[in-house]
Amino acid sequence: MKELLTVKNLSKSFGGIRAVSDIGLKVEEGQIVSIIGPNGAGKTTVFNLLSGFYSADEGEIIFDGKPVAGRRAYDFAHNGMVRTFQNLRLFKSMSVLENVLIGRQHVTRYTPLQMMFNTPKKRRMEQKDRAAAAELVAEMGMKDMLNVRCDGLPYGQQKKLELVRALATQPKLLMLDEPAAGLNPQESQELADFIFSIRDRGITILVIEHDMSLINKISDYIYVMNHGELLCEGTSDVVMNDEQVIEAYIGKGGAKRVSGN
Amino acid sequence: MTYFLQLTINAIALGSIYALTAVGYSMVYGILELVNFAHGSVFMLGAFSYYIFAVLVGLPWYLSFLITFILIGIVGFAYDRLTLLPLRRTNQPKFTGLICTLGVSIVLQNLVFVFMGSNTRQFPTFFEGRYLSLGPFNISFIQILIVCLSVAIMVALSLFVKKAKLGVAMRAVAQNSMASEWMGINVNSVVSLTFIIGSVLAALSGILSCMSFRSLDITIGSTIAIKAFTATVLGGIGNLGGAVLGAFIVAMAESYTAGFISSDMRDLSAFVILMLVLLFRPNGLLGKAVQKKV
Ligand SMILES: Nc1ncnc2c1ncn2[C@@H]1O[C@H](COP(=O)(O)OP(=O)(O)O)[C@@H](O)[C@H]1O
Ligand SMILES: [Mg+2]
Repeated sequence: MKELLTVKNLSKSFGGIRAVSDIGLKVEEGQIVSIIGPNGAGKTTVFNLLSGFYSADEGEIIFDGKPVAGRRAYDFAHNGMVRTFQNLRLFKSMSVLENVLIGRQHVTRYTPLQMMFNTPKKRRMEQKDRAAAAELVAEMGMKDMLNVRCDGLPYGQQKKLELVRALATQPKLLMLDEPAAGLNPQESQELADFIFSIRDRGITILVIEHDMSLINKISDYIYVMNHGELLCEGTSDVVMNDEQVIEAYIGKGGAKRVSGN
Repeated sequence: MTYFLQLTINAIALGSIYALTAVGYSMVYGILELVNFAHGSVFMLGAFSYYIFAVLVGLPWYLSFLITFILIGIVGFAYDRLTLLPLRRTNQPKFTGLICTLGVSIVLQNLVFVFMGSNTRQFPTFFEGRYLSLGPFNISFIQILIVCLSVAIMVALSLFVKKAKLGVAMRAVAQNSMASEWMGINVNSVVSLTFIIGSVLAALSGILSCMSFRSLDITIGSTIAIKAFTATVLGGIGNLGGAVLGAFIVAMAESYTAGFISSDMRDLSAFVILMLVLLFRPNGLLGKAVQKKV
C-alpha cells in the first residue's frame, strides 16, 4: 500500500509548552487512522500542523509524495487534502446544495472569458457542477434537505453536511477533528457507518477523536498521544490492551468499560 | 405636494449615487469586517480621472470611462495588496486596518491636491441640462440616466453575488473565510476582487455625481464618505440590500432638509441620521445583532 501521509520528528512548542514533541505518523492509502489522547495531549496541534495552520518547529510532513511546508491553506484542497473543524464552520445562510457547490469550486475551473460571459460551455459546466453536487448530497443520504438553509438543520445533520462539503473537494485524504463531539450514541453509530461509506469511495481518513467506542470500531490503525508525545501505536487490539494507554488515557478503572464495548 | 414630489424625484437620483458608493463600503465590510475610510477618496479619484481624460486630455467620453475604470480598478487592487494585506498576513488587530484606511484616504486626497489643486472645476456632462417635463415635474436626462444605470448595476451585482461562481465565493468568504480557504478558495483573490468591484463602482458614482452637479473639487470624497457610510450603517453594515435602502433614506432626508428647511443644512441630515442610528439601532434596519466570534 502506498503511503499517503508521512510525518517525521514533528515538534511544536508554544512558549515553554512542548505541545507536540517528536511525533512520527504514517497513513497508508485506503486506511482509517486515528489519533487519540486525553485533553491537552496535542492532537489538535498535530492537526493544525498537518493542515499548515501552524508551521512546525522541527520535522517533516510529506503528503502524496510532496512536502507540505510553506503551502497556503487553499492549496491543500487542490492537492487533495481537506479537513473538517471541531466547531462547525458551515456557510450558515446558504443552502445545503450551495455549501456543497462551494466545495466543488476549485474542481471546476473557468477561463477568464468564461468568468465574464455566460457562454454555452460555461452553462453546461455549471449544470454539471450542480448535478454532481446534488448527486453527492443524495448519495450521502441528505437528498430531502438539498435546498434547506443549513443553519436550520439539526446539529447532527450539520456535522454530516460538513463532511459532504469536504467530500465535494474530491480529496485523497479527509481529516476529521473530533467528528463525534456533541453527537448522541445513535448519531455516533450513524457517523461510524458514514465514515465507512466514505472510505469505500476510496478516500483515506485521519480522525482525531475522544470517543473511544467510535475509534475502536472504525480504526485500522491508532496512534495514542499524551503530553505531546506518542505513547503507543497499533491496531485497536494492541492499543486498548497497552498498560500505558489504559493508565494515561482511560484511567485504571476505565479499562473494563472500553473492552466491554 | 408638487414640490414634495419634485424633491423626491431629486432624492431618487441622489440616492442612486449614494447606493453605488454604499454598496462598495458594504462589500468590503462584509468580507473583512473593516470600514474602508478611503472609499470616499476613491470616489473623488474616479471623478478626477474622468475629468483628466475627458477634459484635459480630450478623449471621448467612452474612452475616458474605460480608462478610469481600469485605473481605479488597479488602485483598488493595489490599495489592498500594498497596505491591508500585509496587516492581515501578520495578524494585526482590525483597528490597525481601520487606521490604515484613514491613512490611505489622506494620501489619496493630498496626491490629488498636489497635482490638481483645490479649485472647483466645471465637470462635463451628458445631455447639457436637457430635461423631461412631466406636467409640473422636471426630470433631467442625466438624472434618468443615473437612476437607470444604478438600477441595472444593482440588479447585475445582486445576480452576480447570488449566482456567479466568484460571487458565491465572495459570500462564502464573507461568512467564513477559514472554511472557504479550506475548500480551495483563494481568499486573497476574492478580497482583491471585492476591492476592484467596490472601487470601480465608487469611481462610477463619482463621475455620475459630478455630471449631475456639474462641478468637481477635492472635497467631494469626504462628503460622500459620510453619506454612504451613514447609508451603510443605517441599512445594516455588510448587507447589500440594506446599503441600497439606507442610501435612499439618506438621500430623501437630505433632499427634504434642503427643500423645506435650508439647503445649508442638507449635509447635516446625514450626521443626524448617523447619530440616531448609532444610538437606537446600531445594527441597522436590516442588520441582525452580530454575535462576536470567539
Ligand atoms: N495556539 C496555542 N498557543 C499556546 N498554547 C497552545 C496553543 N495550542 C495548543 N496549545 C497548548 O498545547 C497543548 C496541546 O493542546 P491541543 O493540541 O489543543 O490538545 P488536544 O487537542 O489533544 O486536546 C495544550 O497544553 C495547549 O494548552
Ligand atoms: Mg482538540
